Amino acid sequence: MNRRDFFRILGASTGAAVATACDQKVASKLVSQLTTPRLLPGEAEFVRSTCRECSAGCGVLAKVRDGRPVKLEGDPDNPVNRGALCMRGQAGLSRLYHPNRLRAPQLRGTTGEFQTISWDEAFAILNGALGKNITGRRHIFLSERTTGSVSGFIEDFCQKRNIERRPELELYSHAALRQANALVFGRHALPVYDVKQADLLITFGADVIETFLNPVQFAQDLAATKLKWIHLEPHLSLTGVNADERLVVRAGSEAWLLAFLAGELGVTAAQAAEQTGLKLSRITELAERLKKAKNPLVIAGGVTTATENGLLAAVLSAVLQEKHHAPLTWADDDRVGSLADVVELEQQLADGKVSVAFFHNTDPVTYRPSFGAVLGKASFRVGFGDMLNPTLAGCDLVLPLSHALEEDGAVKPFGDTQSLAGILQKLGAEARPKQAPVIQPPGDVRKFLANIKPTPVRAGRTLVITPSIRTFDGRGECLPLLSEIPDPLTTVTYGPWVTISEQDAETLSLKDGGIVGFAVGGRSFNLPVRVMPAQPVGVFTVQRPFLNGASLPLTVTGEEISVWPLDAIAVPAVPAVALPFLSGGMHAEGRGIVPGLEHKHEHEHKAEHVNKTLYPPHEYKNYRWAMAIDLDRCTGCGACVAACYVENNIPLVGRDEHVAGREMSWLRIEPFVNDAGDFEMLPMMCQQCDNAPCEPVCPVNATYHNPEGLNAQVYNRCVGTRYCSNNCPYKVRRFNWIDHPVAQPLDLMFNPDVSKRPKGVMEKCTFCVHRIVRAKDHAKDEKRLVHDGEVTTACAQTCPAQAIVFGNILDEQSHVHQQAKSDRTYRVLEELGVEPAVYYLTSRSES
Amino acid sequence: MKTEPVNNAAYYEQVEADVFAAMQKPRATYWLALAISLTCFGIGLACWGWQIFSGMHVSGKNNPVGWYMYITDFVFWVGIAHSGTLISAVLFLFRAKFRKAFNRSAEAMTVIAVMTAGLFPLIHLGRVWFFYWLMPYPNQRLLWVNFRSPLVWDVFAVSTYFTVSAVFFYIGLLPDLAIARRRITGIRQWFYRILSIGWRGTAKQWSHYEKLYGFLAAFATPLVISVHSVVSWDFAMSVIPGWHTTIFAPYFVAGAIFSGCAMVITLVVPMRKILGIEQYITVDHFESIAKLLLFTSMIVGYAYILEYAMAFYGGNVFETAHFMFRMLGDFRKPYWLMCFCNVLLPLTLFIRKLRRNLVYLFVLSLFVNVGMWLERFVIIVTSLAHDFDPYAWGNPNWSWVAIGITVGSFGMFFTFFLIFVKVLPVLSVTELKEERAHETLHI
Repeated sequence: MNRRDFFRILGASTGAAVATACDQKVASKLVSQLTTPRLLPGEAEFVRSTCRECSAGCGVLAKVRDGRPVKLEGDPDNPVNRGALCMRGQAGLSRLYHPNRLRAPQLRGTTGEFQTISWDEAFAILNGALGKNITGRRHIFLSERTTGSVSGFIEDFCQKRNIERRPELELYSHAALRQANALVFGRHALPVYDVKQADLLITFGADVIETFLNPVQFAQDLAATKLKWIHLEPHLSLTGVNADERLVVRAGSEAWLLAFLAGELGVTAAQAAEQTGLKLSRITELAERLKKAKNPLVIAGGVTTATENGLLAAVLSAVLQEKHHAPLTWADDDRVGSLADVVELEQQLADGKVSVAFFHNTDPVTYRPSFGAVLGKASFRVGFGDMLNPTLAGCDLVLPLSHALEEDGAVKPFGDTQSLAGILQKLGAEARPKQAPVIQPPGDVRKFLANIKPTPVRAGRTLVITPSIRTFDGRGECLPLLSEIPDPLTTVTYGPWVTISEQDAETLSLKDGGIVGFAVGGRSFNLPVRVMPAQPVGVFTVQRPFLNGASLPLTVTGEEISVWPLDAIAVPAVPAVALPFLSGGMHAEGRGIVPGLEHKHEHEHKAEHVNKTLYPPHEYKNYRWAMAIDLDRCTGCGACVAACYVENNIPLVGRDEHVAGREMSWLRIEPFVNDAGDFEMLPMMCQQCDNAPCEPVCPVNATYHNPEGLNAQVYNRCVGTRYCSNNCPYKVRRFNWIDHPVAQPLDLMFNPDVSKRPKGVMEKCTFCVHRIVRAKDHAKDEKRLVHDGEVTTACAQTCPAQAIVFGNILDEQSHVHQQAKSDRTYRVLEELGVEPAVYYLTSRSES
Repeated sequence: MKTEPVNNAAYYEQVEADVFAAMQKPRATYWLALAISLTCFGIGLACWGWQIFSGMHVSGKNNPVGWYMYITDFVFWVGIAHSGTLISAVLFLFRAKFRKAFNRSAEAMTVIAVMTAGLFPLIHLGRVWFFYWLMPYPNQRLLWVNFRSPLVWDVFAVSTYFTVSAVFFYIGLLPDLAIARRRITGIRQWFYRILSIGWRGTAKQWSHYEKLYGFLAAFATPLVISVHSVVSWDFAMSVIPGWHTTIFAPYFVAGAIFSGCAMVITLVVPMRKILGIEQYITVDHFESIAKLLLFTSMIVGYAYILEYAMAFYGGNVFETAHFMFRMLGDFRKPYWLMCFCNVLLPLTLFIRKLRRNLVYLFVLSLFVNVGMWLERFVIIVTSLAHDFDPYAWGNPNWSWVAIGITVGSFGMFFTFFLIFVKVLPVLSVTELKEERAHETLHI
């Protein structure tokens, strides 16, 4: 072979090889194939939806990355929540990816086990069941609170198929308020209170910033106004500690005080004082204030209206609202009934009068175990829902509903699910126009008040049953994030527990985790206690979801009673349990972490103590990111904590790790109580110090000061000496003690902008640095600097009270710069000379 | 002056025979001791393996308490190492005669203890598989260690200390290795033949040897101060109340010598009995070391008191609260036990009878060992458990793995020490001969 031949063969064979290699053999799909035209890999798209974690129905924007929603944020255009979202709403996204979600229709087979069937089979079975002869029986449809077109579909379906539509079921139906409003205003509905127009707010038992009606809206309005807010309650609640004044009254006595304030029923101040346990001077002062106020607003609700005197309290508060011309608008929820309707249905079932029973996203069996016993008497039971609950588990046919986000088509659905409207449409229902709300003439308030007398309050220990700020009526119990985040005041994470006072703990010889035994609603409970300062003596608070399995007694309005005598409380001889609560100490012990008056002097003289350093100060060119947190606005609701978890892929570690003290939260709310029993809620995250103690001690430079002032953490470089965490005065760094696998498909919920941290690595808050980078990229494209407000952190974005302000402190026009200059400003542990970049604004009352 | 011709040959032969008799075939008790030590060592290794596999949560640490038993063990073993250098180098320079009884075992103890200590910074790493990132090495990414970090200083201090102690130990062994080469036959002779690197005992070699030994002694002396000062700066350079104090360096050095002396007593009392070398390590020698123990104990006691004085005199709310917690809080039992072991009990050594009673000294040394381990535990854990922010307070958890690894470190230490007593001469034959020569020849 000569040289030329060699090159010819070489050329030909190379060409042939290259040509065959051009064929793409692996059909790799990097981006899910969505129909959204705007889809850009790496860019987020926002899809509108509604939160269903409570009955408020906040508007949400789902942040969709590459076809997968990774975070929910409040919809700024929605009037209910105006961009904010609470803890439950933030956690709600994990419902979409929940491993327990039903993915196909299930039919109970002859063996009693569920078997997967197709939708066609399911429709055939359903039509068959509905077509049977039902002499003497009725089909019923029981659903959660529905609105809009879904409600219209249900209405049409029920009418066409001859089904009785039962009053909708919400555990917290506020039936007393509805009845009172029907009596006073002619509307069997719940009002939307306008706090902004009031100059005095008196709330009785209504946990307005936790679960009552629209808590996010309340928190926003209360933070934005300067009204005087007095809260009366029998127990200790987050709402109470956030009020300007918190007055503790005896459980069930509120109606007496309301009657005195309204000048009804001939109740005197002395009687009100005797019943409530308040000082007479307090009561006259309260009446005086109410008289002086131009636009007072009195709201009763929550634990106050779910007592024997509850209806009276609700009527009296409505009377006061009418008297003071409180501006009220009405929510579209006239169809909501109460648990009395469930009891009625229970009787119908027991009498064998129910043929096909439909249950839509509701769980009467959990609220009333006796309902479960008669559920089998319906001839056929159909459940609609996303996950099995005790009611759905007792059904014959379970139809999986798609998540609201999947219905928009922006998200690829998991499994073979359908929307309720879609299912009913296939069963012959059609959309109906919205029905006008029922407006009746008001009832005779005088007659009502003439025939009623408030029950005197009994003395002794009392159990107060409240909804949970984390899981509401229990619907959030299936979302692990809501158990991972501490209850704001007690800081307990994984329940159940009963909150008791320090004095009761002493009398009963109990410490945190000690067990108390009591009986309520036909069941006895042995629950661990959490001892809380400022908890009223003799009051034992338990959250409703921890009493699941009991049929709680109902009030006259059909609500579960919230106050129960506890004279027979026992301390059983069982060992205490390790209760996971995250606060190591509730008392600030004069440390100035939340400055009291005694620290004012130090604060004023801080300039005299200049900290000397060997190193030159940091110089920043364009940006120095900083944060200002207004403690006067902050309610401690924990929405920011939830947002931080979801935004930053923070692992959930579970009960045992919490007991061991190895929680992973980057941001936490620290409750501190002073000797007067006043609480301060302090959000604590990395303070991004200028002289950060964590930075010099890292042997491998895994943590360093970035040119914009952030204490950056290079996860890949970290070897895990934990020295940085030891040396952090704020203890905000979190070490990955173990790997944190997540159940599929929850892994799809990870934010692709934030890396997952492996075992053995330190992690921390970096002011959502990925958001900053994105904003800077954007600004760079337009050849400018990032504007104020263009980038914010996940915690600041979701805060209902807008307590958190984030921005560039070098920009003198920026909001954060203005806040940092305020005379209310202080920095936590400033005296250490670490120069933190988080500025706290003290409460007005203390500055 | 007329001098009698002196013949020390018989004495020299006796010394060699006694010392090398100890290196003969071990008895059952030796094998039993070795088996126990090896088992403990094995348990420690197994625990470490489990910890690497499952994650650091098995070590009982948590959010405020990022350092726990491993750093306690680290400081404890580095401290143990100290008296070896003190006895062999510092006392050599001061010509303290009693050092000859202890210097070999003390030096061996130093080398072994530093080896043990050196493992703990690795054991406590979250990602031990990247331990080499702690060392400065040239790399393409131009990534260097952070020279401001006391942990990097630790790497240098401990590795320097290990190198110097090992070289010092080996140089001191050379003439004895040559004797071993002469006296020991069979296959073991090869070992000594290689190790003695051509030592012939010529005048020139002796001259070099003496110079080098003196130089190394001088070189090692500042290390006694520097290593434990650096270790103390792991704590003192931080901002944590209970750690952030300037007294730490001298306090830690004194504590290190204190614990090292105690460990020497713990090791040598049974060793001289078992190996039958009582006539070379006498009660007088022990009395001298007991005095050193008493002296350093009083420095340690002074430091304990001074810490409180500074905290309360300074009036800093965090410092004051921290020291109240240390005294009366959740860790008060280890704290008061530590005070008893390290301050009160050693005061009995003022009584001559007691410091010449070997059984008493042995028991006391065990208490001091426990007390010094507790001292580091108390400093590390109480300071981290209750620092600035009450919300973040928390105590660490009981951990079998951490205890297993601690036990394993003792297993490792004793395994190596037991191998040492059978492989190398536990007394310096050369120096004993030298001493005799000095006494009889008056040179």
